[in-house]
Amino acid sequence: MRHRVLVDSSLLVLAAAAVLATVLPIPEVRPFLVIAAALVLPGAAIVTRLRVQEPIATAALIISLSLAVDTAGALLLVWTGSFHPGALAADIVGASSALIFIDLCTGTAQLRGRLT
Amino acid sequence: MIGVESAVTAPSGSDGAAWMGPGPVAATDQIGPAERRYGRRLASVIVLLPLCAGLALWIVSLSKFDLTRLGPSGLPGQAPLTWYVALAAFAGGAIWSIWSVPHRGWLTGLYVAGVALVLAGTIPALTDVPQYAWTYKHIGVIHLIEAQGSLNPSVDIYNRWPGLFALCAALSRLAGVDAVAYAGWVQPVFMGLDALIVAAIARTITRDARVAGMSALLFIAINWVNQAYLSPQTLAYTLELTLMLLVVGQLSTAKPSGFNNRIAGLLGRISRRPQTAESFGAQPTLNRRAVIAAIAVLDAIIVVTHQLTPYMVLLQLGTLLALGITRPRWLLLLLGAITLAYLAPHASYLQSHYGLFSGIDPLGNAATVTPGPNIHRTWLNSHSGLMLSFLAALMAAIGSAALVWTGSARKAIPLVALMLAPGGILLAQSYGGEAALRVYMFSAPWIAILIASGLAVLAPRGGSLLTGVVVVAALALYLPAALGTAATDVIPADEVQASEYAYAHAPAGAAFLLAGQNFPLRVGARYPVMVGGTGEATPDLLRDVPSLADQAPGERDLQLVITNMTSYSAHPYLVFSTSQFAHAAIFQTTLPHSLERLEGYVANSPSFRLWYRTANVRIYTLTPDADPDGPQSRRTRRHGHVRSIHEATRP
Repeated sequence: MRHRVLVDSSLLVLAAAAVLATVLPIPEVRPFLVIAAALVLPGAAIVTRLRVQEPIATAALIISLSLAVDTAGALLLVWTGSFHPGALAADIVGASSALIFIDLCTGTAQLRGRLT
Repeated sequence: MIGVESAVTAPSGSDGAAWMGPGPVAATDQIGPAERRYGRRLASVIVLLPLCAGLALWIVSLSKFDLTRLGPSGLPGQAPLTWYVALAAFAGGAIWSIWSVPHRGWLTGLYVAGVALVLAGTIPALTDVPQYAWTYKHIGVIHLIEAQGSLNPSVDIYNRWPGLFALCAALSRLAGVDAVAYAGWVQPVFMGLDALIVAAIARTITRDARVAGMSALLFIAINWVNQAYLSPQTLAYTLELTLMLLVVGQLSTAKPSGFNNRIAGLLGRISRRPQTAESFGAQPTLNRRAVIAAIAVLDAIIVVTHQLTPYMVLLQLGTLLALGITRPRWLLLLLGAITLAYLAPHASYLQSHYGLFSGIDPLGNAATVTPGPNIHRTWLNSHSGLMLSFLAALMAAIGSAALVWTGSARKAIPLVALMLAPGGILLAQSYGGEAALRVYMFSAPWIAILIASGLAVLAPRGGSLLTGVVVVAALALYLPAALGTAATDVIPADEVQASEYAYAHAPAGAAFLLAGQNFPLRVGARYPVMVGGTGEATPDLLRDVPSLADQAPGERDLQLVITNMTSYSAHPYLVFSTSQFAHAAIFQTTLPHSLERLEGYVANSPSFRLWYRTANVRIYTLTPDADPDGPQSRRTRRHGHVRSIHEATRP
């Protein structure tokens, strides 16, 4: 449970860092943070709902599902002719962070329950 | 795979024990010699020492390379001893980690990642631009989408299957970097990611963390095809592996049934060995509807990303359904419908530009196309890929026999079937002379799992030596097969700059005629307005004027060159570059130094003017004196000429 809280917290920090690096912008770290966030956040958010327990499969699904979500979003942009990757990223990061935050709250509550 | 129950409740028994190996929980609780001697914390540090040493040696070795002096032996011929020691440290560390007690999965993962870094990360670490001239036409599509913000299906096949390009265009814009800057690193990243998914599949099927680690390592060592560069195939391949992970892990039938059961029974009677009743995949733990929806979405993205991969999905899924391992059967219909629904509006384009079917000729379709007679490549470089493929297939056959012998035929049969299934594509397609390579590529994960499973059976305890022999043999062939062509694969950065300049500054309708093959064409967003940018092949002097390839060029040939150039465009350019010279020399597409000699005549001719120059590139255009015909007649001939050209290579 502690591991789950730690992972969720790290993911939210990554999301915040990627947003900051893009908005401010900080060109030195922006590519690394944006690509890391794109490769991890959407998949991690989905995997929190799936409750996958095997670590190798979890890691594989997080990255692959992230790629799938990112690709689907990007296709939507080019097919509609409305190429605004920033808006897409805001949607994906927002939705992913919300799911991860819910998982964090659940994990924290369970951890508290276990400790008390 | 998914669900800890399946991980810790591995069936036991005399036959199953050899197959299964220790489960992860049991293995973690075991105390190894290092732990007894130094304590757990110190032991955890000690096991990282070879990893740190490998990384330090690899970094040191980078300063010893000179990519401008690569010869016919490619990267292995120039690599310093420290590079080989770094590779040995990572590979040896991975093998040691796989067989050590207690087993640490994360440590194996780090060592396998180290192997991927050395094999696929060395060239990206040494150059600012990606390898392979053909990568740049993909980057051009990304630039086009960034510039236009939309697709134009009339331009080329990439605008019709845009998954990867849309993803990269969005990522480039968000990250604030050009695709050229990160394209080179796609290869090590996807090589590692694919190995991770293969490990997850192996873990799902075998419930054995050691087999998972070995499968990942072997997958890297045998997969010499180099598919993981910035291409639609790379993304589609990764998604296909993920789809198979979900199918095997979540849609397997609990009880043995169907053809798999019957064939296993037959093999049991022939081998006179009792066969266990274990299921192929893991016990499903996820919501079945959610899994099927995820598979459908993954397949839909594969379908719009790459032309061939959806059919590989259908072949492999169909195989599992036919064996009675996976359900529901209608899933095949669903994925087939998605594939055909997307193909239908593009079928006439494919038929007119490439041909939907090459004919029912498996042997002919399996033949690969090489650019030239390969005389100047070393014998090992030319044959190592084929040798590695056969060695891997042989080891997989031994692995499957070992599984049947130990009573695991119900796992061996689907693995062999999945390994063979991609070959079905040879019944219909040659895929531009690359079908055999693609078949091997899609078979590689299952080959790796079969070999790893065989090793676990043949050497259930202390299998480091046997694993080491197999990995060394595979890597010895991998190096010349995958890295032996580095002399033509590595593109100097100024050639990319020259191409970018040309596409930015040449007038619309210009034609860039290559003196020889191997130049980073189409990198600019304006490639659709140039001749050869809308689906036709790149204008290529050697293909158009074969006499230049067969005999030493003379001044008399200049008129042929001028006529050829003006047949394409009113604004023709002739490109000479170091990469073209290297390609011609290594693949013997011309007589020795023919291109250099031809450029000498061009440079001294009053009909040509140097338009752009860098250290490795010269781009010439024609002076007004060189034009024997009027513009009207040129345009007429160009139209007929360009349409007659058929693109030789597939995306």
